[in-house]
Amino acid sequence: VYPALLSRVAEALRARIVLTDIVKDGLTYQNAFDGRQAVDKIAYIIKTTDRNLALLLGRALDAQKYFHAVTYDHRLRDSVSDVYQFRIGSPFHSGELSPPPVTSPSSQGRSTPTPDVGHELGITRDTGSPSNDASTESDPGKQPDTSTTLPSDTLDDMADDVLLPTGVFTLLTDCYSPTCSRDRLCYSITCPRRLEQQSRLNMKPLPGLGIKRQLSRESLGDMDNVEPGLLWIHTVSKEIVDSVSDQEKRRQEAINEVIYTERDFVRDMEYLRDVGSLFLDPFFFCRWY
Amino acid sequence: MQVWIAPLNAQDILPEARRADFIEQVFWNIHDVIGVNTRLRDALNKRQKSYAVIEGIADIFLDIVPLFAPFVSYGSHQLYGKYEFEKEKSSNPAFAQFVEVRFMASHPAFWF
Repeated sequence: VYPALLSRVAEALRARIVLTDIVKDGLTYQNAFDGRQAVDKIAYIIKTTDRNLALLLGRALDAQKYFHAVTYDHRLRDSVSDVYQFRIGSPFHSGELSPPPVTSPSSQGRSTPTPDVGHELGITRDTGSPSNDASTESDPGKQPDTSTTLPSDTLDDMADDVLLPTGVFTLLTDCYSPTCSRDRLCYSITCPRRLEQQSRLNMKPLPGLGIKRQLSRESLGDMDNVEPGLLWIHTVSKEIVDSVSDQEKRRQEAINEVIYTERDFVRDMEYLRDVGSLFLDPFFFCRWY
Repeated sequence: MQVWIAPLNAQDILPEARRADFIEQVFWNIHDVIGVNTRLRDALNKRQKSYAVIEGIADIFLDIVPLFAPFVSYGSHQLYGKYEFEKEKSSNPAFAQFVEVRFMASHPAFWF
């Protein structure tokens, strides 16, 4: 499974996840799964040990309403106490606001049926599967209890009717370089795979490269237009903040204010001189014609 | 300042005969003021980037203050400039309208 394609991961997840009846807050939810299991399965599918990454991918799936919290009030969480159900194209499903979508046989993301067509198909299929209706009746006790309980009759059929999420999860895409692979270090120092490759090859990541680079303070500091009002305390590490007295903190904030005020002052004057003249110089537009 | 100066030079807002003199009287040595402040800003930026906890910035000011003469010149001439400006505004409707539009369109921080 190519982990970057949401449709593929969605399919694999649907195939692997174990659906059971789960009781939450006194209500029984049929064909449900908990957040931990979902993250487990996704992590397995995309072959990662990074649960956070798996969670992110799972949220990309639920963002497209591939599944939803049974309470409809939060996104995927890596927790056993949070319960989810797949979206199902059943007309009996009370919680669904939009008409159930249907995938075309090719199901590779190009299928965008109009809601009306999808709805019709859903109904047609329901009436055409009496065996499933029987299975509903075999379990009459639970159904009336909870309005959120999914009827189990259509589940197997409807699994096909769930519109697969589509999209590319760019964090997991392959590098464009043909020489970049799991076990071969990419030549590019900005390749997002590089940190992973380095750790696999037991190399030490170079400081200042890779993903961490985005967090560096320097990229802020060498711009003239640092946000005014940026506090000194937000620009240094916690260790440094903790190592100075309260009086010193106030002093540093005062120095910081002097510096950014001077920056603003010069920037304002330059604004008047440069940017303004671009728009207000009456000959400006003449240069383009 | 070219927001103000360039159009004044280019458009028929001010009679050409007194245009150059007017611009000098009103804007005076604003370019020198920008120059000094750019130096000060660069020195302060450099200090800030070099230290997480800054020991002090007094030395930077001690270095730059001897170059502050443009402020004195600008400040002492400011009233004359304002006088020329107000006089033109009240006697020249085209200029008054120009000021109105520019004032709305630009940052008012340095306008007297």
